[in-house]
Amino acid sequence: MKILVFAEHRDGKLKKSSCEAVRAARTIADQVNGTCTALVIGSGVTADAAELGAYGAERVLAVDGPTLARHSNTAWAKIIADTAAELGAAIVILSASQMGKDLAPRVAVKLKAGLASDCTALAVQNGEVVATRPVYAGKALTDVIVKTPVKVLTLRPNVFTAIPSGGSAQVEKREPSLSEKDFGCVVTAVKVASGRPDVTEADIIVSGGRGLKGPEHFHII
Amino acid sequence: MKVAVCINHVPDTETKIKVGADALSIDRTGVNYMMSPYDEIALEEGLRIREKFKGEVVAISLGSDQHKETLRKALAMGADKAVLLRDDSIRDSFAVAAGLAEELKVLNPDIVLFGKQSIDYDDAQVGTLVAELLGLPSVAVVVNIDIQDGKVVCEREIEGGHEVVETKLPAVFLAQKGLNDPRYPSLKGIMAAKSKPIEEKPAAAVEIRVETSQLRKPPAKNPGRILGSDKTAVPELIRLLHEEAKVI
Repeated sequence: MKILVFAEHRDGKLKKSSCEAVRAARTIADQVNGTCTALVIGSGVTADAAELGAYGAERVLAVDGPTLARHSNTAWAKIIADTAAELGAAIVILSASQMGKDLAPRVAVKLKAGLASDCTALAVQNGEVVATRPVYAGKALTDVIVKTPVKVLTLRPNVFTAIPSGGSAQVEKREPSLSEKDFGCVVTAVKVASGRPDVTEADIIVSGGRGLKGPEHFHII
Repeated sequence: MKVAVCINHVPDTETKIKVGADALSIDRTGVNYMMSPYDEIALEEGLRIREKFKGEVVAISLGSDQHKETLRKALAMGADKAVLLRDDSIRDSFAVAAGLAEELKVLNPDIVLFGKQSIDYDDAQVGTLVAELLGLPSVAVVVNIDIQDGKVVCEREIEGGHEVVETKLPAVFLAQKGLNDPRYPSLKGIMAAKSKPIEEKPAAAVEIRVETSQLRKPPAKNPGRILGSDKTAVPELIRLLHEEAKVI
């Protein structure tokens, strides 16, 4: 069974949640005698993609080209689905980050696949992947099985651990084959609030509320 | 400008979720339902687009007869038409999206609006699935939509910041909190909604792709422990934090 993991980066730096997704895919691959391939998309991303080998990808593909300098959900989804089809991947895994949540439904439609989103646990039972996902704002949990031959899963960030598996991989660089019509939406700018870590990657989150009366009392906690 | 807004009818946010006898869905007794809050924001945006560019707003919901309550509210807020795609079965997100897409193909709107996710299954899939099924661009988790001549410039939330996204109509948008403040239905609107018809038709049959094998409550959290009520308890607390919880 072949598993393809889409790994996300910001400005060339891999996201922690993507390393978690690769590690989780490795764990599943080991249980079903499968393989784990990671895919990175962007411009100038090939060099840093090798790190994914350490999290358990035996193959790392980097679709790298200047046309991919700006993110486009339609173009990215096409590359992921085309790569999954070419590999014959049975499972496609993405992080349930804002980017992953935006891409996964499109990838699923293209692959005629069911999508289990925002999974917090994966298990293999009788050769089938059972995904656990919270519903009703976490007030209940569901165990779901994707019935289609190809399955797409997104994993909640900061739930699966990104422990290196001790492997390594060579990065295979590929040229994108896209046309103008594949860029239905284009990100023209990214405004990042600086100085604060991404909340989905934070180890500790400190929260305060009405009891503090005002922002000037935040130093108490 | 023709605007379609897809809305879902979901258990109230205050609901205490109990697992039903089938262990697959929730126990619906005593549960109040409402329009999914993000869908309300989507509807408000649709109404504002109509106020600016003229045209009409069509509210669409897929589900049982009970969804009429939410469609009626959409009409009261100011939607021109409401369509109920009737189906009493429990659908997965794909089956909902495919049913909505069939209707949207016929409607052929310039803009399709959804909430970023409905607050029951929290799947956050349906809007983007519909966009892909219709071959349309989509902007999810959108907090600003600026329709200009020949293009749309949006802002969407990402981890720790915002993305500026450009696209063209027709397109699909998934509303996030902060896009607007939804209006309350006016008395006039509520009265007018009573005379507006809700068009009913069976939802297109679609096979589900994701099967729920179990719905369960999350494991209960361990109860807290009170070690004492004055400073004599502090050494014991420090010992436990060191040796048991291992957090310091």
